[in-house]
Amino acid sequence: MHTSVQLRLSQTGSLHWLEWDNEYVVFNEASGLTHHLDIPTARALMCVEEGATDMDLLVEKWGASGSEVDVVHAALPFILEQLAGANLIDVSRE
Amino acid sequence: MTVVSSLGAFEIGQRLAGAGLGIRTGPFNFRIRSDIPAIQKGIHLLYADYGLAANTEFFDFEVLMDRGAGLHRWIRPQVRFVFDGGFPFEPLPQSHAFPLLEWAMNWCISTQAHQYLILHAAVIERDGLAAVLAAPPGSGKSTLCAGLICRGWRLLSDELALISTTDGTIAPLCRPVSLKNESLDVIRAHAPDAVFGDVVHGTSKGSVGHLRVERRHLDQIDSMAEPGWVIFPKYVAGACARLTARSRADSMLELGRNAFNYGALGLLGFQTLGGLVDRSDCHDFEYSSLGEAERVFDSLVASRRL
Repeated sequence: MHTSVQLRLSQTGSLHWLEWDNEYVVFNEASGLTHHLDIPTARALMCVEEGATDMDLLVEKWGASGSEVDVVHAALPFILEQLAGANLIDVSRE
Repeated sequence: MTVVSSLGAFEIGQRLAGAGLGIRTGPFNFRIRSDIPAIQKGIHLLYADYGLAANTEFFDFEVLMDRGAGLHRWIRPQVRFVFDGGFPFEPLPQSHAFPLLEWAMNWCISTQAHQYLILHAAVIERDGLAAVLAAPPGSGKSTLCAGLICRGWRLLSDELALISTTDGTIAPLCRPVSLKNESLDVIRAHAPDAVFGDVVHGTSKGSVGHLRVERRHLDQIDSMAEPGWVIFPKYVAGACARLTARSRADSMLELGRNAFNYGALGLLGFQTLGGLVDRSDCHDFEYSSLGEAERVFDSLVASRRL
């Protein structure tokens, strides 16, 4: 179930953001790596950065409402996989 | 300002072979030592109008280009770049001495001058705004740079873009422009009055020659430029000159990949590169004709004047 997924930034250290024309660049000070993110991926990472520790909190911080909630829930596994693959977040299942 | 040519060929050779010849190239002072004739000749021709630094001044880099060791002093003579007592590069045939000096000077800057974010890119300027031309080797970057500086653009650098980490402006280096293979003839045809050093054949990059920088560029060697454009040029045979907008985010990542010290600078590198991109219009650029390229670049400047 989605509520059993635990989320956190993968390394302690600040993220630094730039945004141009709905494209985001984020610098992970802990790893020294720079990433180019589209809007949904950036938004998910911002939510985790702001303290979303599970899927429900993430969707809440996302600000999704109505039918959008299901769309966000459906998209999140892929987005979180991308963020975890980039070593920006840790995803654990309990 | 006292310039190198004020010494005359004999004294240039004496200093190079002795205590060293101090040359100002933008923000850096180099002290160069070598008794190899090709280096003395190249400096006399290509660095004649550069500022002369007295040996009592501070030198950012001490470069020794010496003759090979052992039998290579006489048989198949070699040249070695010596820096702080070490040998950063493999020795090369002595006929490659001048290109090796230029590569060595680039190496000194790109590995040491971390007060700048250093991109592998040419930089030219018009109306106070810099166009950063970033591309991998073989893309026509230096040819485009050489072509445009012969048509009213000011040269800042053909190889190393020096972005200040304090205010984001771009510092001129103004060193001779390195051209390779077919590019040499292209620029000779484009600018018949252009002066070249000896062309050296059979280097790892093919035939290499250096274009002398005109005095008018050197007169502005202390003038920083504001970022205006980031352009990723590509020579495509037969292509019409064409600019295509490129996203700033994508441009930033690409520039980061073409930087020498982006990773080493950490957050400062991110902030500096972000500032450069934020202040620049970003484009891909395909071209095959320098004349067409010149018109496109002039139109970029004209659009900023509106």
